[in-house]
Amino acid sequence: MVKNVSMSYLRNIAIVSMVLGLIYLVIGIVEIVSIFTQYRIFLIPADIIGGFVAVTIGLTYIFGIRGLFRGNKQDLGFPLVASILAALYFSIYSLILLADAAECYILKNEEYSGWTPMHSLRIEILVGAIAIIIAVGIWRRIKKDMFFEKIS
Amino acid sequence: MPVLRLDELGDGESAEIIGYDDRTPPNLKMRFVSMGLTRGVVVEMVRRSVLGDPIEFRVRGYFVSLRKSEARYIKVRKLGGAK
Amino acid sequence: MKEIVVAVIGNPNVGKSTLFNELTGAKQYIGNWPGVTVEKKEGEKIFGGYKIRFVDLPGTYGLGASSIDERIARDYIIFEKPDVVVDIVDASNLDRNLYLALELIETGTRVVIALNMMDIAESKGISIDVDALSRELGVPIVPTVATKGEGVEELCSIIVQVAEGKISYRPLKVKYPDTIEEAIMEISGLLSRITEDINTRWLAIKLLMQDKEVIRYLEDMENGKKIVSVARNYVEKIRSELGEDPLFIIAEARYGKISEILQRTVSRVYVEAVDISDLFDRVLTHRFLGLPIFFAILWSVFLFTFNVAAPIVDGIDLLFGWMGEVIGSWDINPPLKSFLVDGVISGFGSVLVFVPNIFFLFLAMSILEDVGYMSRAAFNLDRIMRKFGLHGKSIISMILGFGCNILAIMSARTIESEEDRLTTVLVNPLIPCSARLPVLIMIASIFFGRYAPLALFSMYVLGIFLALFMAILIKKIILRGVVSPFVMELPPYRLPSTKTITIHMWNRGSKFLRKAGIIIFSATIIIWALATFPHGAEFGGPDSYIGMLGRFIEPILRPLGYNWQIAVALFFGFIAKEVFIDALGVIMGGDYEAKLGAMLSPAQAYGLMVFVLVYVPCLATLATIKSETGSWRWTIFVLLYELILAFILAFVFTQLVGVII
Repeated sequence: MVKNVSMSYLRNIAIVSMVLGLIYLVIGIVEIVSIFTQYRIFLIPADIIGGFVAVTIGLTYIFGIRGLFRGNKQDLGFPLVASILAALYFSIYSLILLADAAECYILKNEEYSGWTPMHSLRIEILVGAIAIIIAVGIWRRIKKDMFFEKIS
Repeated sequence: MPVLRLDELGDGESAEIIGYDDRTPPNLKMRFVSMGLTRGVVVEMVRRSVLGDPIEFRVRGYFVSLRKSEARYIKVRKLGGAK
Repeated sequence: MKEIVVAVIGNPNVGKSTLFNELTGAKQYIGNWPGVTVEKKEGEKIFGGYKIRFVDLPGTYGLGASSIDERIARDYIIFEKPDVVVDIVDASNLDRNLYLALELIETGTRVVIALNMMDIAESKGISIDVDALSRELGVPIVPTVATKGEGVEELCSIIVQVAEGKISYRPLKVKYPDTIEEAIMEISGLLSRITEDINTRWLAIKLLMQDKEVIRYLEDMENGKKIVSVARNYVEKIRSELGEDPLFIIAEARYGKISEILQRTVSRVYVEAVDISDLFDRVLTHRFLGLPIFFAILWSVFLFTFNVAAPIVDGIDLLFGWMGEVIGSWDINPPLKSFLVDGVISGFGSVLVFVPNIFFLFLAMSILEDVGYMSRAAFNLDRIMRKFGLHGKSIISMILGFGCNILAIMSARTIESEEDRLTTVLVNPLIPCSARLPVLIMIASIFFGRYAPLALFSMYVLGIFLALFMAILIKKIILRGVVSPFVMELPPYRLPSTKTITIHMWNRGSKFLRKAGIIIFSATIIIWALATFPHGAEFGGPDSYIGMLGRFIEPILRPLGYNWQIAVALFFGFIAKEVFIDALGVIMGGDYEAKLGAMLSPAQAYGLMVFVLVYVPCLATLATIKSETGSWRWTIFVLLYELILAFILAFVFTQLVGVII
């Protein structure tokens, strides 16, 4: 295994994975459970499928932790994919926010009469922004350090 | 080295193709051939799908997936040692 | 202006559509190859004083007969005889790609190779001596980077020169072992007596490889059968003499030649220490994470297609509603007014309302496909889907069906095998789309009160079950025959080019408008006419044509408990499922819910729900089926089987539920 990428880098990513993984896991569980209660936590909607997605992202981060601590650089795929998914949903939820705004302000749709942007703002948009930075960081590191070995 | 069928290769194992089963359907044979799964070629088992089927192999520098039932038709001889 | 016809062919995943788009620009015409669900793309370019017509052939690995795609490509080249064939080859994967090139050269057609993805090859440290390669193969080769548009002009220039005969062209002739060459000589000699059109050497080789289609083609000709048996004898002879099937000997000779050539012309300086695609695949095809991630991605496509596009859809709705009002306020002849509002505007509106969703969906799917994820999705899901006679990629179609059948059917486009594609398309209308929901909810809430959600849920379960059941049925009984090989490449992940994705998306939308749109619009006008005439009749009332039709049908529907009013509403529901409710309102009056409630028993109401679920796909869906399958036969098949199924099931369930309640 070529040691172009240092162990400490991998360990740092592992820690980041742990943090983000737990965050998404918790978000997801709350979103699913919220369907069955009346309590709503700020910025966390009740959404079974959205919750399932968040749990998936969380688990994807978590599955990579062990391999990363062991120094297996191939496991960088886990936080990378998880971050890309998080970024994907950052975009989708942001777009939906914009779409809802269009319905309310431009089309003056009755169904949106009491709507404010806060209604469609979700925590995944905020956390997702962080995930994007992580994704870009990991990708850059991979491209730079790990690409080629010369055949002599 | 023992002769087995392609679907029996384990994770990371490589083998050389030595032929096809006599009962291989002709259109499958043609497909194998045009995709480069011919005699003498080295195939490496990469992974199985989430549900065990299909299976992904590395061959001639690219990655191909075959259903278990299709891989069954290909006879291979294991090469010494996994990757 | 003189025309040059150029066929574009290549392995799947070599960037063929990207290059095709670069060659033709956005001016493309998409249709179907006759009678099959395979798409045919054509485009034009004016170059060097010629009009070059490009025909995109389906991606294929060889010119055998192992799938419909292959047959279409081959038949086009052999029988339509384009002036030039451009074979797009992936420079980072020459070994396998050149097999098709060799086959093409052997057919005798004029080949130009576009060596695509030169940038990727370069980044992998692969260095190719293009001139040497061109000399070895005996055909002109043009290096290209389709995603950046490089090499396109040169390619066109070479095409023109080849068509004009200005390039000395000495195609490689693979020499097979003596025994085989002897056989080829004799067989092609015999063949030249019965056909002048087709390259006899190629035909002879195909016969020795026992190609079923070629055999069938020749047996149909006079004296053909004799030649086929001569070939068969040679096959036996070769088997006993060389101990091996000629198919293998020929294939191996070809690959051997390819290796030889590559050794002399290609060198590799680098090897990847970390395989990027493998990095992703470990996660995307992970035992536990693979499927959840798939659903997460699919859900995002769903949200994107419906929720993000919603304002545009609603905008169009508003626009047409407004236009209707404006015209409604004009002081003109009432029938003309009705024609314009209820006919034309309604017609246009009902077509255009789908376009935003289609654009968004195909934007998303193009990205997923071009990135390379779709094949992983199929890889993950194939096992389950196959149990129902479907392809791994069918699941995407099935799930989209819950949103809108039209989108679901169009998405079946990405399935490689014709049979699986067809099956997926034919059963999709059984999946309850979102348009049926309002109708089902209305009926359920009138009759089942507390149990309404349960009744609704049972409809969804029924729909899914029926779709899977019919899939197995159709696969086994109707499409018995060639089962296409699944063998599928898992291409490396790539960043898609914006241009390709945009063109792809645009093509889908315009194809829909052109093919399906016309049908939807015409049918809307026809139904409007039926509801309006004869003159003086109340719109949709008992004396209008549609009313008469309704009363005519009534006896058939009587066993189910429906009267002519429901029949007419069902007709209107054919235009679009939600319209059923509006129609009921128009025909029965404002208190239609109460009237309906009095007319039917709960058991009959359940039967009605089943009927609405199954009876026919909405007009737009039917039109899409026609546009995607290219055949009226299958479209009418869907219409009929759903109608019949609807009657039977509605009846059965009415009785069943009647017993239970």
